[in-house]
Amino acid sequence: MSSYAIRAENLSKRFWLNAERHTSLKARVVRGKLPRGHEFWALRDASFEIERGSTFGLVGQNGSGKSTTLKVLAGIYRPTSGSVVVDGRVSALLELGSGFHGDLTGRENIRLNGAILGLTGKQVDAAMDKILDFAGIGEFIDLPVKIYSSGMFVRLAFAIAVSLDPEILMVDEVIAVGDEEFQRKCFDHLFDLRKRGTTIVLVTHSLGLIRDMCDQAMWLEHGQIRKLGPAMEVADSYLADINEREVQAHQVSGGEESAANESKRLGSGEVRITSLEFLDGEGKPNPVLPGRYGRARDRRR
Amino acid sequence: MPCGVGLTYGRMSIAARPRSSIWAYRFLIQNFAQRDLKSRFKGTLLGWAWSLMVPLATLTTYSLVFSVFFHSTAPNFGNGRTGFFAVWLLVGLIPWNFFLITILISMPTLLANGTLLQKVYFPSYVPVLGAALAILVQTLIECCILAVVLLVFGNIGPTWLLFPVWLALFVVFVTALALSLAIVNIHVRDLAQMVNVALTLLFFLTPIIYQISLVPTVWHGIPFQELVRLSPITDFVTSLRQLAYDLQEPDLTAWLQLLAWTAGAVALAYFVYQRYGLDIGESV
Repeated sequence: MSSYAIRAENLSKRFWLNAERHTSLKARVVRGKLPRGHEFWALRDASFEIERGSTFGLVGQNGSGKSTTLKVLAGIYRPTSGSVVVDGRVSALLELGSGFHGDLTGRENIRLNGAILGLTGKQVDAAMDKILDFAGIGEFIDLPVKIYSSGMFVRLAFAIAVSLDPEILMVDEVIAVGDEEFQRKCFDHLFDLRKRGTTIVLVTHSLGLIRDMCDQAMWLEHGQIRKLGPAMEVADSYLADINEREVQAHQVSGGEESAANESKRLGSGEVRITSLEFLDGEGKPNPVLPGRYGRARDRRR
Repeated sequence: MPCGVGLTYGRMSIAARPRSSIWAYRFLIQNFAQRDLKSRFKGTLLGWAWSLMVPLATLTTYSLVFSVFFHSTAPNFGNGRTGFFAVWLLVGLIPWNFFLITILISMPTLLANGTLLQKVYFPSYVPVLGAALAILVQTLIECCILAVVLLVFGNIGPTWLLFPVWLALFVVFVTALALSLAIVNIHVRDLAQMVNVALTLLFFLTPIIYQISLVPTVWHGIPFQELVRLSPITDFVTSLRQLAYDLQEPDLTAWLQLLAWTAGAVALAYFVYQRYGLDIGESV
């Protein structure tokens, strides 16, 4: 077993953009050859390696190629060029309950979803109690899922996901739908998997999640790798870039020099914090306090 | 948060997609079939009974119109008894219905499973095979009813033992054709409409409600009987009638013909799948 769970070399994915994607036969006959539209590279020449047992974050703006990357890694898309090696039992969690069929009962959907997830009938039966327990939706389990509340739907979907024990987990950020308690349950589960040595590939817009969870991160821009490295560094550069853009945007629109600063101001302005200092034990300014207690002093007017 | 549908597949080292056979997906195919069967009659009062009511109604209608109104007759049973039109018709209708319903249900099935195909990887043939399997279950029930009817008429013989061979060839033939059409339908949406028209035409160009001897050999210079004989469905229907109704063994040429049609359909399905079926996730 190599030390890498995933290795991608010069990975590229091209899409043909066409206003009329599914051209009818009539159009084909009338116009002769089918117009192919113009090409769009959702991912271009991306090479990266993901170490076994590590957590890998994908950041970038909307349309930068994060989800495309994930779908290529999950096998849903075939790369246009380049190669990808995925070594391990993969589980891709891309959307909540997308395999549910409204007319089937919760229990029947568990079996169907288990099959979609690659489990055998025996494995689903073995995990059934665990799933029912985690979902905690009681007698509703034997009713069609179309009458479920969205919360129950989500609970059941997640309970099925929990019963998996993948070696590589790919997670596309799904906006939290459940209540606070449920969200925590999800996060706890992710942290738990990470502790157990599962390789996790995470697409997220939350830089907090990148910093908290990820070891390595990749910042994509227009389908190309902008930065690849330790999660903290990538998150910082990404944030710096976003801030810089915001400043530029304000300068263009507002023209004021202090626009950037003004835009970050919070509150009513009755009291202003003009500076903030970190002090060490002796009360001397010290910006870095590795593992020691200190005080913070702010000046207001 | 991250949850819901995902995919787990076997260890691999070549690419992101597992190189598994159809066999590896049997459990998923079976589950798609179960989903189809369970959801089809859900909420209806008669439930499963509908799957038998519909063919029964068709059988009654055709028998009434062709046997009573048009005075069509059926050939004698293989055991020498006078033929019974409804029974003779049933032997032809069962394979036709399997063919018709499998094609009609399979064609939109990839579109119906589009969201799923965009979220998880599984081969695009899985939902089509699932749909075909669900219809096969109903067809097998119809076959059992047919067997009972033939028993009542005392029309049994050793040729019945060939039925599984015939069925295997027919199921593979129909499923392969349905898969090809379902995949092409993703790229050319007109296909579903065209196939609808073609199926109606094909039904009347296949000797199901009439005996092939009724078809004029040449009509205005068109060799109609030869044309009707060219259709693979004619071959399959005729050979089933031979072994189940006439209690005659189809000759070697007939078997080879069935085998050739089946092999051709499989080759077509393989080509279409390799050429157009691998990127369904981004095409639906």
